Amino acid sequence: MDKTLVLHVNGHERRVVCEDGKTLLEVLRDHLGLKGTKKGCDEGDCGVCTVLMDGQPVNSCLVLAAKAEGHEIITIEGLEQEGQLHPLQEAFVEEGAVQCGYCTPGMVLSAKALLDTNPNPDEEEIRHALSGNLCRCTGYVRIVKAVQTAAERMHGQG
Amino acid sequence: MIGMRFKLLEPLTLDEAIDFLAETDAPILAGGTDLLLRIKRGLIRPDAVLSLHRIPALNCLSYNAGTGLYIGALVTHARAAQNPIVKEKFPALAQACALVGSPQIRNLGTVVGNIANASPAADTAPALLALHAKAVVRSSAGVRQMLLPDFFLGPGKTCIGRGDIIEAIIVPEPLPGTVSVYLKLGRRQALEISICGAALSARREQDHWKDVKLALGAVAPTPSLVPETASFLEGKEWTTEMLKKAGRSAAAMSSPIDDQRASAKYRREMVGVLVQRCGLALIQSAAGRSTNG
Repeated sequence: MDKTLVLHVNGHERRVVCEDGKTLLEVLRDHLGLKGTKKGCDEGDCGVCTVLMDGQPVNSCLVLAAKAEGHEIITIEGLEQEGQLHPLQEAFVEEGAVQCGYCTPGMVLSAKALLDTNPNPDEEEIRHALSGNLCRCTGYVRIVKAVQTAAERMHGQG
Repeated sequence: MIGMRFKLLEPLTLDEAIDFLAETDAPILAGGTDLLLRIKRGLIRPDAVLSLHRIPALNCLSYNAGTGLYIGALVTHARAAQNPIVKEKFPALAQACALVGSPQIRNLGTVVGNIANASPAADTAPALLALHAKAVVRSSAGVRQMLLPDFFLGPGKTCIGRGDIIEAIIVPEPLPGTVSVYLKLGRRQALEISICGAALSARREQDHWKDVKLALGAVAPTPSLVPETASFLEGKEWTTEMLKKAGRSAAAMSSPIDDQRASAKYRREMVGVLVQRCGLALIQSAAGRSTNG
């Protein structure tokens, strides 16, 4: 049971033919070659598959590809603009918030969703926004710092 | 995790969905945070799944001063939790929705789906029970409403049968001065199935509390109202000693089990703690409102 879907990913219309049971995660990675979004627990508990759907973070492993039609999807690949990294990406690198890197795309996108609605979050708000993204390497401290650094830079430019 | 294979039915209207359900026993997909999980784990292997995502009417979250709150089947926990009317008039529900899962889960999972899945630990259930909510169920035979205590039958079991769709939940207009709270106990701050959940709703009348409703989650086969403890608190001023007694009474009414999250003994003790904390939260909430005028 294949369907043709038109998905709006990182600002572009993408046409995909896939089976009904395919998730957005599978389509992003296997059909669109966007490997930045990771498969971890595949059941919505770890957050490495996080993408933004209409600006809101969701677990793409729990979104059927068909359900993603008509919504704007942003993956980690969509953050960079004309070779320029997003301030969050720069801050993650500078603050040493990346170790194995597996949680990073999801973390950055959850953080982006936060800063887009709350440009000046306190630590508790940052940790709450990231509560659906697990990291086994860093202990979260530098991740929180990176989000604060990015907020300062973005807010300062605002 | 296995890749999922099924035929996806995507009706455009509720009537079309009802027609499909007359022909097939496909499970109904709203947010997917429970159903897709069960399919991925191989617990169920449906040939077809019926998704509601193309039915815009089910996205309705509305409030009417006479009839109360209407929560359509596709309304997510995030929308309900962030809605100003829900936060002001139905705080227990806003708090419960805000405690489900994680930000990502809350952006997908639905309030209706939470009760349809009928986990004994479902977070929205105690709040909805305490707020006297009803489920609106549609089938080819028509529409019916039922109070939630009649809705939950056992762990994962509801009175929803083949051909039924839960169209919405309605929460009636609370009496003036009603305050409510939902408290959740878990081992983590997020992505946690509740060890014990408690919802309390009541209103101040002069010196005492009226229309008290208490509901517990995760300590019985279904989320349940505790009318005995509510009666004990009804028509009275709540002293520390009274809240302690109420806690013990509710704990005695509960029937928790041992599982990987907690022991029955611990859960029973925590019922007592949460009931007291709920009482204190309502006292504070009412005090806050009276000073705000």
